[in-house]
Amino acid sequence: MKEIFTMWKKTKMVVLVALSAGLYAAVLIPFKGFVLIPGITEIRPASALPILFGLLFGPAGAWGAAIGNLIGDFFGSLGIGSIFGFIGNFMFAYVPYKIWTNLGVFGADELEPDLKSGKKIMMFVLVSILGAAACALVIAWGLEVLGMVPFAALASIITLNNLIPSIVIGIPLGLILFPRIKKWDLLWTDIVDQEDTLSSGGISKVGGILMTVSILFGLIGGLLAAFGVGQAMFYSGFGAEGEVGSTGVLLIAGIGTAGLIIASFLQSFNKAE
Amino acid sequence: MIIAGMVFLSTTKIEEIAEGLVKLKVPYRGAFAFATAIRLVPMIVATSYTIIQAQKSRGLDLDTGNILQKARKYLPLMIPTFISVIRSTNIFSMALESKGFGYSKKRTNYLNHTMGGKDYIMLFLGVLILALAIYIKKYPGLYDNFVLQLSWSEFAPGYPNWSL
Repeated sequence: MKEIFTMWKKTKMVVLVALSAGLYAAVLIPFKGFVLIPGITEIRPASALPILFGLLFGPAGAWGAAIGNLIGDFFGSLGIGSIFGFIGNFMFAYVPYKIWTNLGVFGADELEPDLKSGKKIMMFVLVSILGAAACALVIAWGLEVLGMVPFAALASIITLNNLIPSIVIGIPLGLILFPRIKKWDLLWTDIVDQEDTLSSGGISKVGGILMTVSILFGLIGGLLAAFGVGQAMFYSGFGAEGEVGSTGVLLIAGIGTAGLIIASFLQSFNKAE
Repeated sequence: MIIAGMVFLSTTKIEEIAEGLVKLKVPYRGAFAFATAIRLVPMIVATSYTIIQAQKSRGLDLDTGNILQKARKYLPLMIPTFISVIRSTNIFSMALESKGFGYSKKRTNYLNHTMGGKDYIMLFLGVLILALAIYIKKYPGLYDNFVLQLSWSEFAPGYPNWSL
């Protein structure tokens, strides 16, 4: 996790944060009128970008996604939920590059996210699912804590809203962008200091696995707990009149969120060997 | 709250946003990235508009078809925008460094705002409105009683089945 702070030393990474945030916001804002939940979320084709930003620009992409979402919120959905939107969108880009490296699927020499093999595309789909779910978990849990929106409705809408563009638009976009970004030396691993890049194995791998388990436990467990108190998925969740802010949902989704953060810190110990 | 963001952005200079963030103890580089991102949004939109116009002048038909067909035509036009924006990273960072970005931790500012009487009044009003909003959320009957005093209250949605 230390690279998300140390990256600010590099001017190029600061510029990448600004450019990622600007691009994300520029694609988010025109769709602010296509509202799904008033004041909370809308149709978001821009969700294709954070996964790519995370894989290509690493921590700069994560900060860019968080800041870009906040700028987008200024155009129609600014509120107390924007705090969780900031953290959730940070995780949307942060989780993919951590999992990509630390789950131990690829060897040290094949970590580049070039999407040139079936294995890499499958991994892209997996990190997209986990990134979208992490974002949904943090935001839905946060708004459940505040008693604003039912967990089941929001978590299901955000997961799908993030996941579909990430896969449908993200894969072709990644295939086009990767060779150019590599050629221009803009991959984050080419910019930051060697000690701030990731290496798989050891505690980092444990962190990667814990991150995956925490996200899935928090989201699926939270949904099951929410169904138990009368909530429902998608739009029917708003008509089901289930209890918002129930202890079970808060506890299970909260454990998932806490696990996600603890796993992030575990992955700081990148020189385990 | 929904329009508050737009009011804020349309009434505050980007330099002032950056300065405000620094005064709120946000590190300068973070504040700079935030302010630059806001500044970049219209530039990115203008770039994509130029690309769309260029493709239209070459015969691309973007006006016919249903919403999905239009989306399929627009999506490929976004790629040159992304590439053009990302390509500027190296030049942008060189320009910043050539002007001394990150040279010293201690910075001086051309802009230097201080809190005055009007600012404290607005701050107090903001806190008052927030407190009132929280109170009305907790005790909605107060708002209902207020609206009932108005001559148009019977036209209000949900009347007379409010939370009284």
